[in-house]
Amino acid sequence: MERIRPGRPRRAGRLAALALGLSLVLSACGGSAKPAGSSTTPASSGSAGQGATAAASTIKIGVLHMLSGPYALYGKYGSQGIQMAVDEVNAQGGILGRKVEVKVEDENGGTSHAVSSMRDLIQNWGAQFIVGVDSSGDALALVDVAKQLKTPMIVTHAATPKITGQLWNPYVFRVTTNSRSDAWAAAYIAAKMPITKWAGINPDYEYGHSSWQDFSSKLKELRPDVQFVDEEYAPAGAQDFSSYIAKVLQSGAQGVFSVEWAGDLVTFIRQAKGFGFFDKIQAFMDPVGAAIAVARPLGKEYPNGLWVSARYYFLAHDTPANNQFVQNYYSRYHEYPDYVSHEGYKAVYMLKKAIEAAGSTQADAVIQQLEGMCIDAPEGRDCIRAQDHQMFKDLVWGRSQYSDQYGMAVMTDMQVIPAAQVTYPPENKR
Amino acid sequence: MQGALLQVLNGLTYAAFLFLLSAGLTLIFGVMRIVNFAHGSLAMLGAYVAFDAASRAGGDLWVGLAAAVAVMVPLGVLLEAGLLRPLQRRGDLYVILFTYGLVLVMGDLVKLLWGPEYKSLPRPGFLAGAAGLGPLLFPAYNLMLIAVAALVALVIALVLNRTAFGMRLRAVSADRETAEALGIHAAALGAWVFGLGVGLAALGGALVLPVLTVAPSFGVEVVVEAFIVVVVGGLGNVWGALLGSVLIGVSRAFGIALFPAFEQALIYAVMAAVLIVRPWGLLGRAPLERN
Repeated sequence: MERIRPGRPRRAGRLAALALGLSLVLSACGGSAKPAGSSTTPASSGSAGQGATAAASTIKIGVLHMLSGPYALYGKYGSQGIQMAVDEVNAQGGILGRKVEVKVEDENGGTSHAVSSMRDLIQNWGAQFIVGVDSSGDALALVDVAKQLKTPMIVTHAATPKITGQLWNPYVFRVTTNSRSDAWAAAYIAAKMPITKWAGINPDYEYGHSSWQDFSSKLKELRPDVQFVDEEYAPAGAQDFSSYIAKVLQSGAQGVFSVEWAGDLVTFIRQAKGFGFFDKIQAFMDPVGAAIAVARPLGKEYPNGLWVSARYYFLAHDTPANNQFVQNYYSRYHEYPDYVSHEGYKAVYMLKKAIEAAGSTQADAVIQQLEGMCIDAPEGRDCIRAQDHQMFKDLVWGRSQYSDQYGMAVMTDMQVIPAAQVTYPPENKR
Repeated sequence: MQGALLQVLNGLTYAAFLFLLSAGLTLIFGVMRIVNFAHGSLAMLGAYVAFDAASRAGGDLWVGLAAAVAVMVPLGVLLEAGLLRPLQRRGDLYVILFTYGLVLVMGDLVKLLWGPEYKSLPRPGFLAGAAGLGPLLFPAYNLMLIAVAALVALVIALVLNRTAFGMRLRAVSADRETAEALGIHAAALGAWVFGLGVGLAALGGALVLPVLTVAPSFGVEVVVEAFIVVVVGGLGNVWGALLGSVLIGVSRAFGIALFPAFEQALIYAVMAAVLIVRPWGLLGRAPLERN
């Protein structure tokens, strides 16, 4: 005899409810650890940048990077670049005679976690500057924290055009290419191909949608005869791309544009190979496909002949400065610098130059120096546009080719899209 | 038509993985009344063990599979006998919090041992390409995954229906108190079931290494879907887990093909719809009342 008595949950029902509840908590916090309360006293409320009066001993740079989750490799590479620069700077006597201190916090775990991590770095630890930030979704919220706490934030990775566009405020700087420039560079290369049917497969958030928008509108402008036959968006962290792959293959696309990145791109490439995707498609383009964080995990499985780029590429600049940087990085970490490593490294030196020129770590004085500032980075001379604090630079594209020497796929047949072609007028109101 | 067939196969591939994961989860619940949050993390640990062993053997997946099962089954048995059973005497809440804690511990453990990089393995040579099914091209490896899951289902069916061990399992799962009154030692079965369940999860984790990427967050990502499958199918019922896997896997594939904007919400909608019509899941039964 079985009888259901509504209103009296039994053990199984209670357990199931608990299970679902806890799994929601789990998926929301992603298992990230929150640092314990700091022992240092909070910096004078909300204005950690006021170092002018404090006879402070060290200059504190707070770093936000993805240290866990599917994008963790970028956090590792970015932190490595920053740490190397800070150690070099300290070995040369620091900045204004003061040592530089770095604290890295995990950005993974959702935007609210990233926001509280940044507040913690500034208010409890006393960070005077923030460097890093991997996710565009997080960056959209963090620009507000920078403004509220009057702390300059130098973004080295997150690529949404909005943070140096409509959401811009004077505390926000980005020392790398944004996704619009990336998408436009791809469009210039795509426009030269004898291909008229294009499709997209992109991450289903801000970055993916705006990148496809920028790519397709630019390509249409350059080549009015192209058609866009399919547009797919896969959730971030998607484990299974096969349904999207099948749809793109069915659409009859000849070329595919994608800004999938990190672990998602690795997963996508493996699964697509199983469908013979890269044999059927004439061109596959990804502006961040040449990242070490993708080439290394894929190893020999990386398909040859994909059109890829990275916002800095270690083999693209045969100059003494770059060769020295690559060599130092390699001997320290036993791997080649990824683009986030270079951008983080560069950000520290930009801060050094600006603080020294300002003669203080006072936020407004440093911001004034950073605006329009140029620096000789390993990759060459890089300048920050004064109006919107965005950096534009030459972008190098190439075709993937496995190399025994490097033990991973590298870019060959490299070509440069000059900065002028991917620069757009400032959008923010000043 | 071809597109629909392709999406069915895509759905079944994902269902195969979900089934390997949820079969153990639901068995463990059925026999032991344990909600094992760490199930996804144990699958992840199995995947890392497989990755480690396979990498040492020059990327041989089969070595990895064998190592994952060989390491994880005894680990599961030890975990049950050494930690879960003593805790279970204290109450369900302790067990749930413990398995939840395991999730965090194992996430950090794999990061410590293997680093934060995403891991995966190449497909074995003869399964690397696409297999032709008439005019259709489908990854050969994915077909193998579906076949393995079907084989596992068959073996589970034989064990449950044709062996004394299976009969005891069914008895405990259907009515623990009566089974114990009849002399079946339910607690002793627990260690076996837990070990087997963990073995299946490890097999699943290792088998998807050539298809998916595994990172320290993998355990959390998959356990939520495994729970959805188990709840849809009916808690504690292996055939429910099979049905639930196919339903969730295939609706997900068609969700992407037909309603891409709602794809992520779709599996939750399917779960809600099933639970409205059948509150205990597709094959689940309301627990017996005893007053």
